[in-house]
Amino acid sequence: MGRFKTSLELFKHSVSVIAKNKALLLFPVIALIFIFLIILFFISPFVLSNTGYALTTPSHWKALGDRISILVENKDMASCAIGFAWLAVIYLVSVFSTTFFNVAFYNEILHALNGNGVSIARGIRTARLKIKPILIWSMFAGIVGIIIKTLDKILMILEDRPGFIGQLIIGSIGITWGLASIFIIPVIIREEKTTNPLKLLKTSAGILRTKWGGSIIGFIGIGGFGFLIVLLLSICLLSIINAVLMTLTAGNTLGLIAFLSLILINVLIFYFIWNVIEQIFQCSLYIYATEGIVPGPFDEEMMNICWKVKGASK
Amino acid sequence: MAIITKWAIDFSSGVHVYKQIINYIYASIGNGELKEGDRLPTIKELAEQLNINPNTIAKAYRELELKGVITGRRGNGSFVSAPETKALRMPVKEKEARLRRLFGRVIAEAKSEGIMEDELMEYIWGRRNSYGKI
Repeated sequence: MGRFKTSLELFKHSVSVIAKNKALLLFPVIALIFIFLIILFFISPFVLSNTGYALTTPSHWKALGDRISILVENKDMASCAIGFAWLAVIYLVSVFSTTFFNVAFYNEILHALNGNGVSIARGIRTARLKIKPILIWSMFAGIVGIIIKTLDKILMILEDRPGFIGQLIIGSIGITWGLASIFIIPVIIREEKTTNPLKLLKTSAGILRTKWGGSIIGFIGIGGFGFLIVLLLSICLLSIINAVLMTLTAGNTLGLIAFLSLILINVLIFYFIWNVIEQIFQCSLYIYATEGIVPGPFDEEMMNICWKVKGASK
Repeated sequence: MAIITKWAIDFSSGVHVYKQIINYIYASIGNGELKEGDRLPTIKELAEQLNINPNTIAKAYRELELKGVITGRRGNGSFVSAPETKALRMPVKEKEARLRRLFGRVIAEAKSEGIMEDELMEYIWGRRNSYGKI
């Protein structure tokens, strides 16, 4: 089977897993709402602080912006430090929440691929049982993220612009980190012996190396071909909707606004489903690598086309 | 089934889970926990208890069936077979000879992978100490 066809089959089979276990789609939604509420909780004392204007007026938001500018311009180090610490807390809490819900989500994907039903309560319960490794891993991953971003900034300052070498270094670090941590969530779920993030990372990287060897230099995932097909289908669908809307609201700008809104909603839904599909696929790869079988509706060829290999043309 | 509770699947060992199950069944037969005619847990039971994919258990059982260690009886489950059980309890001298041959093969293969005998032995003992059994 060609790469294009395999990629498309892979996409279809992943969708069939979602079709059989529709509750899987709820996990990212719950995670998104939860993270939104957490961020809201942290920023509300600042956002709701008294500026002398009503909350809904633009003057209120301008006054908040002015406060930040004054702090930065006056080089009020104490306030800036508090501000940065506050942002760091928000960042780390977001990373923790994302990891927590990912553990719950992946646990249920594993159950779905094992032919069991999906249960949101069981997923959350599993994540609660794994709270310690999740917390430690989140702190570790969060700090690594900050280091990579800081390194990027330093290189930009040194090169005076986003230079080739800087981009290459940061890109390589990012790819290596992404590959090494590719199985980190299932490893957190199934690893009983350690909570040490370095050991968890080593285990994740070890699974990849043992199964696919050391020549892997990147993860393609389901691949661009399937993505392209779905995007084309979406564009076709949108064009039809657009034609209908234009006919109904001929000469009206409302039609254009409705069309643009539809595009945005379509892109968001598409991105969301694509994300779920990619995560189902990553769980399948984990089962394939550790258990030695191809789970669910997939086949062996699908398990091996998703990697960028050293020296390969693609 | 009592024996399953002792099985600790190690997902990060680098040994496929289906092979670990095969090893556990061999070990259980070898130490007498599983005897000729004993019924093995069904694929569904074992998959649920170990929280792994049913196809993984099916693959392990299939390989054991091919080697004649177990026999699948449609609708009744899988049972430890007679001939292989006897083979596992072979005379000491024959077992030693087989072990020697097997060890020679393992050492040769390890060397071809750049692993020295000392390193291999250290690894085997490390695993034994970690899990009680290999």
